[in-house]
Parts: sequence; C-alpha cells; structure tokens
Amino acid sequence: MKSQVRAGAILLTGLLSGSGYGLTLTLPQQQQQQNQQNNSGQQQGQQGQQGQPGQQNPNQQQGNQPNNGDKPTPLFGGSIGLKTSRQTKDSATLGFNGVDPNGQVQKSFLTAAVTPVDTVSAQKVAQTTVAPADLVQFLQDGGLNPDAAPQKP
Amino acid sequence: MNMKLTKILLTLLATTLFAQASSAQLGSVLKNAQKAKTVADNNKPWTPEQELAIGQASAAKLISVFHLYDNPDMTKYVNLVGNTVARQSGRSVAYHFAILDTEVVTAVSLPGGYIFITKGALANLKNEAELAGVLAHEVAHVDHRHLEREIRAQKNADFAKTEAASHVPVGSELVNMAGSVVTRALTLKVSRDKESEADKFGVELSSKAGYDPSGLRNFLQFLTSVPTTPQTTKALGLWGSTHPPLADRISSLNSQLPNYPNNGQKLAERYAWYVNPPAFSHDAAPTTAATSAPTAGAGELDGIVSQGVIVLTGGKLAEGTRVKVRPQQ
Repeated sequence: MKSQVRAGAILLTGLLSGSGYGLTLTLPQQQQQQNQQNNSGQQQGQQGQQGQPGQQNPNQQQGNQPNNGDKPTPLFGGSIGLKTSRQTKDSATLGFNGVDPNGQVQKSFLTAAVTPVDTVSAQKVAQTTVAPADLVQFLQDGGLNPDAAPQKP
Repeated sequence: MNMKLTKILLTLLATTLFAQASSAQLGSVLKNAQKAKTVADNNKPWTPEQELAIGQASAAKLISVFHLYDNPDMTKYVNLVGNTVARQSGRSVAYHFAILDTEVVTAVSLPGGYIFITKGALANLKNEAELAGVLAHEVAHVDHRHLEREIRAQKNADFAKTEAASHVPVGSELVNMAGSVVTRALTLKVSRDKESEADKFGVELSSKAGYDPSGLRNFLQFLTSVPTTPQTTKALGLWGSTHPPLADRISSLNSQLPNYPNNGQKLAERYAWYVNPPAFSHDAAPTTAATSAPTAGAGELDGIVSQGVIVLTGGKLAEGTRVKVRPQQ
C-alpha cells in the first residue's frame, strides 16, 4: 500500500516536473536570459561603434593625413567623360574617401562611430526647410507646376 | 481498497497527462502567438516617430561615411528641386535634401525623407530635369518605404535579433538600427522590382512637377557611355553594385516615357547657374543677392503693356519656350 502511494507520488512529481507547467514557469527566466544576452550584445555593439580607446576613427585619420589622392581635376574638365567637382583651391573636398578602388564603401567606414559633429550635421539637415514663398517663386521662374498633389491619408 | 486506490491513481495519472499535453500545447500556442505578434509588429509600417528617429540617426551615420558638403546656396537649390518633385507624391513627409562631399556618383534615400545626392553626381548632371529625375526616383523609394520594408523583412527572418518593433528605438538600439539601414543602403543591391517601381513613380513625379520626364533616363544613358578607367570605376562602382543593370532600366524607362507629355522643362541654364565650377568652391559660391537665377527658357524678352496688350520691344526666346509675365519693379 505504502509503496503504491509512494510510486504514485513519484510518478506525479516526475510528470509535473517535466510538464508544461514547469515550462511555463521558466519562460520569464528564459526571457530574462535572452534580455541579458541581448543587452550584452548591444553593449558589444556599442563598444564596437565607439571603438577602442587606442583606435582612431578612419574619418578622423583621413582628416589628419594629407590628401595624396588623384591629382585634382578642374570641374567639367578632363577627357574621361566623367566630370569631377574637385577644385584645386578647395582643400576641404574629400574626393573618394571611404571607397576602395572598385568604388565599394570600405568596411572600416561603415563600422566607424558617428561623431558628435556628424550628429549635429544630421540635425542641420533635419532643420533644412524651403520657405513656401521661395518655392512659389522658384516654380514660377522655372515654369513648373504650382499645384501640389493632394495629401495621401 | 487496493482497487479504489488504483482507480484514484489512474484518474490522477490521466488528469496529469491531459494537463501536461494541454500545457505543452498552451506553451506552444503562447510561443507562436509571441512570434506572430513580432511578425505583425515588423509588418506594420514604422510610425512617423519611429521613421523620424531612425531616419535622422541613419542620416548621421551616412554623413559619418561621406561627410556633408557645406554649400548653402547649392543645398538650397537641391532642396527647391527636391521639394518641387516631392510635393507631387502626396505622402506627408517633411523631405530634407543634402549634398554629400564625395566624388562618388550616387544618390541615397533614407527613411524619414532624408535624401542625399553626391557632389560627383551633381557634377555630371546636365540640367535641372536630370536632377529632378534622380531626386524624384529617391522620393519614390521613401514614398513606397522600400528600405524600411527591407529592414522589416530582415527582422522577420531573424527573430534572435528582433528588437521590439512597437516603440521608438533609442540609444544603442537606434545606433545599431541606423548602422544596418546605412549598410544596407550602401552595400546591397536594391531589388529589380523596387527599383522599377521607383523609376516609374519617379518619372510620374517629375512629369507632374512640370519637368521633362526623360531626365532620369538621359542621366542613366550618360552613365552607360562613361569609359572604364580607374577613376570612373571608383566613381561608379557603388552605383553599379547597389542598382540593377543600367540597360534594363533604360529600356523600361523608354517604354514608359511616351505616356507622359514631352514638353516639360529642362532648365539647363538655371542648373548651370547654381551648379557650376565656382559654385563648388566654398569661396566663390554664387549669391542670389548679386544677380538672379535664369528663368525658364533661353534668352529674354522686353516689352510694355499698352492698352491691355503686351508690346514686345526686344529680346529673343527659343521656339516653344513657355512664358509667364511678371511686372518689372
């Protein structure tokens, strides 16, 4: 009798511990673990974005190095068919910085951290608006359509 | 007694087994429901707040790669042309146009209405209609949320990396997201379908705005004629790797163009006035105060109103030029 009850109790415990209840109870723990993993991944990502203290941002590096690229060609000049906007006087130009000889963006530029200057520049772009009066004048001068399309819902 | 106890135990066993099965099912259902919610969230278009945050962070990331070309007059001009075509799309997005300081020939659109064209592209466009064509194509990508849809699709394919899609991302999540937006924009080929959709809608926007709708086609044709040299490979490599073959697009555009009026504006003079060799120099950007930009059409007419009729007193305009009259101050 006792052994039967004990066997039943063991059977029930075993079933319960392997059942969905157990699984349901561990779900938040799994989520917590996942969150922790995600957080550590994000932290790693952040570290990657920020770069190591000893490493220099390739953009900054380029800015500090003298530009020894192709010889500047005047705008709309040359006989290659493709014109360049580079000016001999315009030392600020970045030419082909950030691209490899095949024209592909270099990985180091894609993974480099965004600097506060870049963030400010993006904010500046976000604030760029066209004054309605200027646009009206521009459209008139160009003989362009003054009417805008109706707004989509 | 034994029988009774066995019965009880069997009943308990059956109940437990049933509960276990139901619970396992419930767990599976919950898991699937969570998965379905994630998919549903990722399939939802980003809210204006999400789009704005992701767009601005992506813009900063793109600027970190190529840097901004700081030329207020030229930037204002690009914004005027861009807004001229964007206002024909009807989507309530505040578009922002800017110039990237690179010789690479390309244009990039980001979520939130951020559109960038490079100095290299501007140097090779012939007129305002071509600029309008390129910008209208980028506006079409934003209007149809092409990049956003690709990012959302990628998130669906990779649940492990899924961030909650129902909130505005901040901090490292936003940084990571901006990184993947820009990496995708600069390294992966836009699908043929999406590019074709953008070409088609772009031509429509240019035409509705009053431009010659063949601007984009003409620019693409020019790109096919560029000889291959180390410098042109550098300049056009990005365009080639992120866009479908030029010949296919030109052929498709050629079949669409007869559906649009062919009397749109090209505005080559106005383009040359804003985008010219001195304009690319920071020291010698043209100022609107010094003189005014050319108006539509080549040449000018002088005249005077007499008894309700404009009597022309001089000047010459090209045949077919559209004329609007404003009294001289």
